[in-house]
Amino acid sequence: MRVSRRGLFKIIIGGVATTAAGVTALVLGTKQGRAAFESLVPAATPAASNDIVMSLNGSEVRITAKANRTLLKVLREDLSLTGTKPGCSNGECGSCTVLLDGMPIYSCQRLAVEVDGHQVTTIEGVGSVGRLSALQRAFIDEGAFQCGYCTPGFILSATALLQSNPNPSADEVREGLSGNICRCGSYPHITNAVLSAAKGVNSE
Amino acid sequence: MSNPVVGTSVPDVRGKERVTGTAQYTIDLSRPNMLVGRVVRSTYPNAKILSIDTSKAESLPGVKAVITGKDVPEIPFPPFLSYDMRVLAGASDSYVRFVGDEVAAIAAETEEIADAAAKLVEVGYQPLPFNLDAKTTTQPGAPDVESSLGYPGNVQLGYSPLGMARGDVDAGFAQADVVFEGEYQVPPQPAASLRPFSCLAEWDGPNLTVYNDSQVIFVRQGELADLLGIPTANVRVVSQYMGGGFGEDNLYRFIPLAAVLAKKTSRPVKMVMPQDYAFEGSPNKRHAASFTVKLGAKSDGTITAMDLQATYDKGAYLAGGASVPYVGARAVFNGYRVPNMRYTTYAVFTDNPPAGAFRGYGGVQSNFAVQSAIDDLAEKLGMDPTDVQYLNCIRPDDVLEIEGRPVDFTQVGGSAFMEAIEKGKAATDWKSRWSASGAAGAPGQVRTGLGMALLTYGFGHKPDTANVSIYIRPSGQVDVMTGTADLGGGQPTTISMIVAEELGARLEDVSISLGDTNLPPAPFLGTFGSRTTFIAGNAAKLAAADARQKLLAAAAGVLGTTQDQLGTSGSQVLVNGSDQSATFSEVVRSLPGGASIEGAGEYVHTAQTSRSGFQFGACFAEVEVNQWTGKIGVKKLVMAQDYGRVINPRAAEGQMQGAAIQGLGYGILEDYVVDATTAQSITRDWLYYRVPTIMDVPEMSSIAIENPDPRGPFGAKGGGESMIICTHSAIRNAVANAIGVRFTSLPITPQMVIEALKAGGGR
Repeated sequence: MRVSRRGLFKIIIGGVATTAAGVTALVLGTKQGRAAFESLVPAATPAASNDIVMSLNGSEVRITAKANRTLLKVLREDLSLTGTKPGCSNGECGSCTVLLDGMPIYSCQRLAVEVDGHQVTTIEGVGSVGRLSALQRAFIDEGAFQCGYCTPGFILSATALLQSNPNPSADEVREGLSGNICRCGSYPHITNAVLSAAKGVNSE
Repeated sequence: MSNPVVGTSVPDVRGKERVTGTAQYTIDLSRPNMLVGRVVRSTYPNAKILSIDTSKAESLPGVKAVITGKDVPEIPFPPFLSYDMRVLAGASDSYVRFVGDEVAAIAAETEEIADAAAKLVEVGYQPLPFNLDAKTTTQPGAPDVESSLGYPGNVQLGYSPLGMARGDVDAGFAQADVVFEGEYQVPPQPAASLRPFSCLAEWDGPNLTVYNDSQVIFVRQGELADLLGIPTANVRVVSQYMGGGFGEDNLYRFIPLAAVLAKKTSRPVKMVMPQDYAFEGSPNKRHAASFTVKLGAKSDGTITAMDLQATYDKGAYLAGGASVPYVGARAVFNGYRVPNMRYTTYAVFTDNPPAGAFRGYGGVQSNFAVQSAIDDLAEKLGMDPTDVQYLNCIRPDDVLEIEGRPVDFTQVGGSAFMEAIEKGKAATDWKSRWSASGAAGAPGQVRTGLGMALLTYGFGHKPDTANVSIYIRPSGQVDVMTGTADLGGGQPTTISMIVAEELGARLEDVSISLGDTNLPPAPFLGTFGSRTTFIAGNAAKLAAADARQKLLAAAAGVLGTTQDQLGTSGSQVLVNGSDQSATFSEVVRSLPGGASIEGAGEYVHTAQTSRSGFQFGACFAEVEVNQWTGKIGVKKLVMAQDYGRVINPRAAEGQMQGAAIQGLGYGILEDYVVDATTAQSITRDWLYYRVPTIMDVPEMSSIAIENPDPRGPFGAKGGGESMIICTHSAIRNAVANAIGVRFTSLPITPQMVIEALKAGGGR
């Protein structure tokens, strides 16, 4: 059985729903579920600031953040790294994907305190306008975006995929990118771009 | 002089910004001292506001302003399309009419404070009866949806019924050997773009600047000026990177609210709408619609009469205007050479959120009805549906009365239907694989089916004007200035390519500024209706020709020859039959005073031509239907579409694929569900409202047909929306072919398949 990342996510939250005794409506993906969850836990107290040290795009960064502040908000609002795009802010769409120790994660679903002592890579750490990564170049060459809003998230997911599997099949590319949504539907060109980047890197 | 830019696949000119995250979308903007805006929205679908108490919200530390209906001008909104909304409920019009209707707005120091303040605004509602069903809303005794707005009987007066006709429908049915009647319906479809809706409003003395994700910046500029009672010259609207842009931005009241809050607080205000706004309350959904279709045909498949009645659910306000149902009618009339046709549309009101524009505007709905009905008719006639389509579709040299005016299709690039059908059949191996009882394919419980549907659409469907300015700088750089928005459909690249081609410049020397009302308006109405390539592209071509003429005049002096001996290529002026040349830079530098060479182009898209932008195409689908699980697997989509002339092949392919993928979503995945007792949506995120992911994408084959439209730049037609118009219909027809169940509503879910088969609907 093949489970896409999106499918797996559903299974995980489904699990929460069934194991949380007596709270069958507790599906965190819904507003109702959230409200139910919030009613179970005391209102999040504006916790004391926490000192956090992370390796961000290769440089050590020290920040302080409240316990309930997400990595997404810290990156965008405190560190002005707006390349990480907020989408659903609910762990569904993948536009805020960053790498945590090389693994793609939804930064809207991580608290900043969780990345203390870890490595975080955002789109700003992948390449720049003057120095594109092979994958970024391939996304441009293959026309792998339309509006471009989801593109940083896709590039992070694809970067992680190619690191763990430098020579993926088209099916493996699709599976690796199944946690990211592109509403413009650039998926065929995205698949082409990742395959072409893999081919280019492997032939170097 | 060969200088091929048009017709080659060129990377997006703003691609580097997009892939590095440096493209600044509205949500990425911030200002020192900026406040955060929030909107308080109705939780009832129909209610009278008895009281609004903002005192608790106002006394919360960090809250800088709370506004209600009494604080905003009571002028009709939106001025662009209709005039029946207002910016906030309250004041003299104290009703809310859908879940999400705006009631109050807040500006506060932080998001957290703004959210807390929104909860402290106390609104006393008297709930009123409501009706979410367009079928019953016009029946006697149905609740008055508009609650005093002036649409008695919940039908849009003055427009409805609104339709088109030609020939004599009754006479047409009298000639028919077979009459088929069917009923079809389609659900709403939220655009569901990922970026949260936002805007940033800031005042500098009397001048307002609004940054937003807008396709219609010039219209918005006028709208804000009217609303705030200030001169248009004092309003600047900027829309740089859209993040989505499928038509969904034209009814947003949070934008004027941000401007009012910014004025009141003398600070920049960034308004960010919650994520579920994309699903609930935002007036950006495709209209739900229902249809009755009656077709009469000869036994050889010749259709003698078509009679359609359409009911489009406007939701609680006319808002987006009558044009959606109207375009729905045209998207049928522009397709068939049937001599007797009648199309009647009704726009009715319900307590649903107002429906607006979404890619394929009106045509997606009527396409489903007509393409399903023709497929069903073919089955009744015992014919291959491609034969029925081929027989009745508009032919390249037809002259037909459309909207009361004869249209000679040879003057608009012909009709590509027959070519699209032939190419689609070849690409799906239709002749050897299709049979009336399904297609050759997987054996056993999984059945394979082939289906197809045609599309037609009028691009750039309103009179409009576009202006483009070009400056060839002393450096040799070519600056293009035009106000069109960058939706992601490749607009800046397409316009740059047209300029490069016409001017004889290298594409890398062309730099484009766009998305700002300080630039020349193009298209003035906005970047929608697949119009930019055609309307702004024509203006760009005229501007480039003008600049080239001036360049050659200056070059004649530099090169010591006459203009008629000169040509341009690769950003150089070349002398015919000689190796003498001068770069653009050298020519411009020869001018006195460090001047640039200017070119201006204005293209006026008149009413005369506005009905003549015709888009043709076909989608062919291959599906596998698992009769045990009900799962529909779309295996292959073949899209054949007439672009007139393809400017940028890879971008055109991307538009075909993206539109077809959105159509696939509408066909089998995207299920918008509203709780009938509360009128609240229960599919208000991307987990429950399932848009296609990369796992849903089938094998796709994109076929661009090129029948040049003599009026288009280099023969190009608009075509960004087209494939969404018929993909869902093609999939529906393929499912019918696979299992023999002719579904009449969307999306076709596994549950519907299983229930239909259980009820004996299959073969």
